[in-house]
Amino acid sequence: MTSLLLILPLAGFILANLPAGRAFRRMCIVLPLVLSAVQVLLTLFPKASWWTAGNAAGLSLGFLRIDGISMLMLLAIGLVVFASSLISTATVRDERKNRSFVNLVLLSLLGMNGVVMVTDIFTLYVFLEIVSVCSFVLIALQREQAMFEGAFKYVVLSAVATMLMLTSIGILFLCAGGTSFTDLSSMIARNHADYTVVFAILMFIVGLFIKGGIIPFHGWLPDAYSSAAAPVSILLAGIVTKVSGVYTLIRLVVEVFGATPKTSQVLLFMGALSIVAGALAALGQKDFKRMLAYSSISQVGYIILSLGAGGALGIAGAVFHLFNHTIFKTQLFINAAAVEAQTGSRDLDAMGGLASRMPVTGATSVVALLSAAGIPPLAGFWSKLVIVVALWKAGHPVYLAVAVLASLLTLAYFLVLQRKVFFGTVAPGCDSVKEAGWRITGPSVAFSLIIIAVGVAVPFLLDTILLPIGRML
Amino acid sequence: MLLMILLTLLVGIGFYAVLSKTLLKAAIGLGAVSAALTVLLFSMDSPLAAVFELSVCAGLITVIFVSVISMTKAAAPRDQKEAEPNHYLKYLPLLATGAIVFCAMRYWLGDAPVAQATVTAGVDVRHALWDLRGTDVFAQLAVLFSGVSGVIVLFKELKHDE
Amino acid sequence: MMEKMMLLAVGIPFIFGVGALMLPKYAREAATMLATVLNLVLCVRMYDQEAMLSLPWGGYGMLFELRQYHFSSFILAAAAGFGFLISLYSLYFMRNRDKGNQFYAYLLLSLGMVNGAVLANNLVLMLFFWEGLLGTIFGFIAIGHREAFRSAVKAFILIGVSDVLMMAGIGMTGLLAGTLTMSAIHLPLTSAASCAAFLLLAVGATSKAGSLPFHSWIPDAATDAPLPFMALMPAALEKLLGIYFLARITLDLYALQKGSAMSVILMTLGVVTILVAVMMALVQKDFKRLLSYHAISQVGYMILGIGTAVPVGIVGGIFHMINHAMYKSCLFLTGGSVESQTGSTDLAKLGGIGRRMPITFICFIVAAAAISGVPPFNGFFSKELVYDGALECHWLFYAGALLGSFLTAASFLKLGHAAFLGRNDALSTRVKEAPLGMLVPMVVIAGGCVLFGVANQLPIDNLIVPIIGAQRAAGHHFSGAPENIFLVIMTVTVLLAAYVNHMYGVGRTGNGVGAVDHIHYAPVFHPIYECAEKRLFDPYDIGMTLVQGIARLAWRIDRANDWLYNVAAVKTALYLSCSVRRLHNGSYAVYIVWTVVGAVFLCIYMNA
Repeated sequence: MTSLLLILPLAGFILANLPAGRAFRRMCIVLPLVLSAVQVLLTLFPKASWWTAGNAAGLSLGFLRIDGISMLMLLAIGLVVFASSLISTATVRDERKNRSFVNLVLLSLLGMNGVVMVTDIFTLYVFLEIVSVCSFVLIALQREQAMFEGAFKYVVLSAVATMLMLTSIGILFLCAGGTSFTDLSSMIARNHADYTVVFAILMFIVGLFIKGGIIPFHGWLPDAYSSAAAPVSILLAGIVTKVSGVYTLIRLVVEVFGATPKTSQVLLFMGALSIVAGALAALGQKDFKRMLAYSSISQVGYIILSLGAGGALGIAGAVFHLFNHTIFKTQLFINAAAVEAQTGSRDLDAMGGLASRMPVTGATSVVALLSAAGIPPLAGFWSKLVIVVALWKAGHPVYLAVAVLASLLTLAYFLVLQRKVFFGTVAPGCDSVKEAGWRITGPSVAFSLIIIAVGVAVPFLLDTILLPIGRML
Repeated sequence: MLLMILLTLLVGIGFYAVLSKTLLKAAIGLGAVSAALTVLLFSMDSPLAAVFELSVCAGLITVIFVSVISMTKAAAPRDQKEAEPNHYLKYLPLLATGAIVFCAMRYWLGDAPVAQATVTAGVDVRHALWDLRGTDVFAQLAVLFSGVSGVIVLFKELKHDE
Repeated sequence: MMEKMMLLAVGIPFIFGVGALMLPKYAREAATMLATVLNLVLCVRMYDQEAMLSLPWGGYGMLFELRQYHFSSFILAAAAGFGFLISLYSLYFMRNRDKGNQFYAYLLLSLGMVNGAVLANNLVLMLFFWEGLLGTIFGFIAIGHREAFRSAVKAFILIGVSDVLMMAGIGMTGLLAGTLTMSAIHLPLTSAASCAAFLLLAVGATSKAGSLPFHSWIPDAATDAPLPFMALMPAALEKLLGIYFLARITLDLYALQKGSAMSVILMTLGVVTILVAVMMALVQKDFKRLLSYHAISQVGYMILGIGTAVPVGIVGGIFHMINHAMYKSCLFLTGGSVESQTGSTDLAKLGGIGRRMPITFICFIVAAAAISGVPPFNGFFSKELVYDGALECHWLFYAGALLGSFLTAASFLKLGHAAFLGRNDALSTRVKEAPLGMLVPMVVIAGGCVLFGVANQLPIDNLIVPIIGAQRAAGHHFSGAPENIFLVIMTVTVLLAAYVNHMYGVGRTGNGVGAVDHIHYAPVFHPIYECAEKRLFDPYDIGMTLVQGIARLAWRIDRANDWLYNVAAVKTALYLSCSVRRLHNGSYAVYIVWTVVGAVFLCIYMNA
């Protein structure tokens, strides 16, 4: 039944585009909401029989497999797509544009579900392409100049990434005779010192770095995130980059490529570079969403750093931070959407004192900020703690120091953000600002609750969910 | 030897297609690149791939591009004169680095001690496509749909506005 | 039964003290009297009983242990007696002054603390009560008048520093002995550690009693604090407590040997205290300040006596303690009645009131004679015992003590002459004798001075000799007339010399105040006195200057730290941020170049 997660979005897409009446079309706008809600509900019960039913009957597509980390990613995907769709109903006013959005979101939902479930590297690539193409178009949805620029940069760099990945797949296929994870991993394990194989692995990793937005391969990220429309930014920042770049990297490095010392060193260094450069760049930003974009780069650096540390703890830390980052970054982008919708601008210097006018947005952004900076007892603290412990156990004191000090930088720029936007006296242009509608504040509150709940419940979840994930991979 | 010539040709036509001033020349350049790729694939002993490449890309796509472009008007002469002339020579460093990298990679990777597994030749295409790689076909379908939606999103309004 | 009484002896003053803070005027005076009477009755009832109490308190050997034996019950009774008498006195003294509630509260709390410290059998428990006196002394001084705060702070700091030293000594003693129960500790003074611990404890004890070098708060307190405080604390209770503890240290906790280095150190401290303080006392122009310097000086005798580690000396020292408590508090009480009747204690303004206040004058004469060591008062006998012990050790100590006697006598002749004799028309007509309530305590104590002198077997044989134990006392005869006639002759000679000196001085300057001017302005002494007047020798002031310097240095360090965090770190981060921002110029060609360069570097790294 896992292939239903792929087939249903496609069916929804077809349904939404049938030449039926206007009323029917208007109803189809709720399709992504329904599908993502169903996905969230299903992933909350991982032991339910639904997951394994139908496997024996041959109804499933090949190469699909769900394990712990896939379940977690499916949950994250469902949550973010739900939030994004809900907000699009509020912010994207034009009905025709809304329908285009729905189409593309359904397809990207399909693509992302596929990415987290496959066991073959070429299939992985194809599903990545689905996600990429949908993202290109989504960024340019409202066809403004800045959006085109962002989309174009993404297209070009993504093309470079695609080229690198395809080259790598070609070489690996040449050497292994098959493209499934098992074939490749056994081949790589036999030949891991060979130049060709190393080159191929490197190409793929660089391609994934571009997709994930690691410094210095991140050139498209700030423009794409900040210029896209609000629900698209949420989708992009929350899940697309994570799934296509970071999750894939984790999955491949652990299962296929193997964590050799050189690979680990590369990951550690790039991770640390991203953390520091991203945080420093974020400090000086004047645009709300651009600052959040650079912050994403920095936080993804943490995930890569933890992956480089290796071991069950390192991988568990990476996965946990991935999930946490999805949640709090989505939260922050929802707040940015709310602020943009109500004040009409993203310029930090023009805003001020919004907390008194938009209390829900202000409060939830504080929760997300604290989680990002790693303040107990919120979720971000626990994932950072696991990362730090993993680094310590793996014996990298310098990187550990970098990670901890960069937390200070994180706190710094987030506090600057908070102070400029929400605290202080109300800026002259913001007097008549009201709180955003329930469609934006609802997901905002829900995500904050998730952050708090995960943070409080983590000590209980650590042994049951996270460490087994780390050991499983 | 043939390989070298074809590859150089491929890259050269590619540059031409990207740097040319008119849309028509670019489309024709794309077709020429696909043709060169077809010959390459033939020479590397994969006729099936060569045929697909020729028919789909060099044929179908170039035809669609050219027919659509011919339906458009050329831009006003004023815009053309003010366009900056392309200096092909400024891409020489890029070519030089590319050549150096290519040679270096050949030197390092050319020995290929890795045993190259022979893919079982002669597997029926239909079997390979539908049974072994069914998920890929499904995904390709979705890519197709997303491409179409992309085109609709980006271009549909244009007709209504005008 | 006895255990309960011990707890009551500690608890009653506390509870009544807290109550006195809250009650209105007449109620609190009644409560104070009731408390002190109860305390006196209790302590007399407990006298010479043996009892021990041990309750769990903190961990690690810190138990709530109280022990009542001969020595502690003796001190307890003495403290209770003084507490009662001074309370009676202060009823009249504080009648028209404000802040009465605080005064009585501090009085009772101090009494409670002293009771606790005397009864305590555990080093940490004793330290707890000992330090409690810090607070009450501070409060006592601070309520004197508006500018008294500075003296209060000075007292607090000086006593606090000496208490810290004692704390260190207690810690070392506990470590060396392995237990904190005082009755179980008996260490020899052989190792450097035990000597150090002994010295620290001795410094703490003697400083509480008021010896050098932590003494400079007492003269300042004398002018600033209300007078009954001076009569109670520095004169009586502190001496009792300090010398009690010193005796316990030298007799019980450590075994001080005659002629050992520790003994010499203690004796030197004693003699230096005697001389320095009495030289300062000589030149004072204020009644209370003069008395306070003498309080400091007399402690030297006690330390000298106990430091000799000879049975005669020890008995003399302890006897001197109880005697001093009596005559010094009597002197302060007379000073208080002079102050309350004439309104001033400046010797230049006083004079000729002896005829108008006869009872006060007679009490003053008795007490002054006692302190100077005139037979047959109690001071003479205790000083003789101390001289005997000092001479047994070395004649230098004896000579120093004798010189101190001379100067003591000279200064009291000056005081008495200046305050009570001579002519003073302004005052002579309007002063009256002090009220009865103030006179009774004075007379009682003065009578005690006479009693302890004439019938000195009573205190010595019954109270003090049991303290040093039977084996040490064997073969000695302490009470009655002094054995060594040589000592007696020397003392009498010294007293006559003091009288002659006084007459000479009066003849020179014409009035009582200037009786010692010839010593004051003598060639060697004059510059020293000048410096002392300017407080150059005051260890407190020296310490404070040092502390100021350290404080300034710490402030500088803090500023530098602040700069590091607020300025340097922020500027660096912003600079780096701007550089990163400038690198992102938006041209995606640049971004692609970064990608390629990054990929090439990684390639080289992975394949190298």
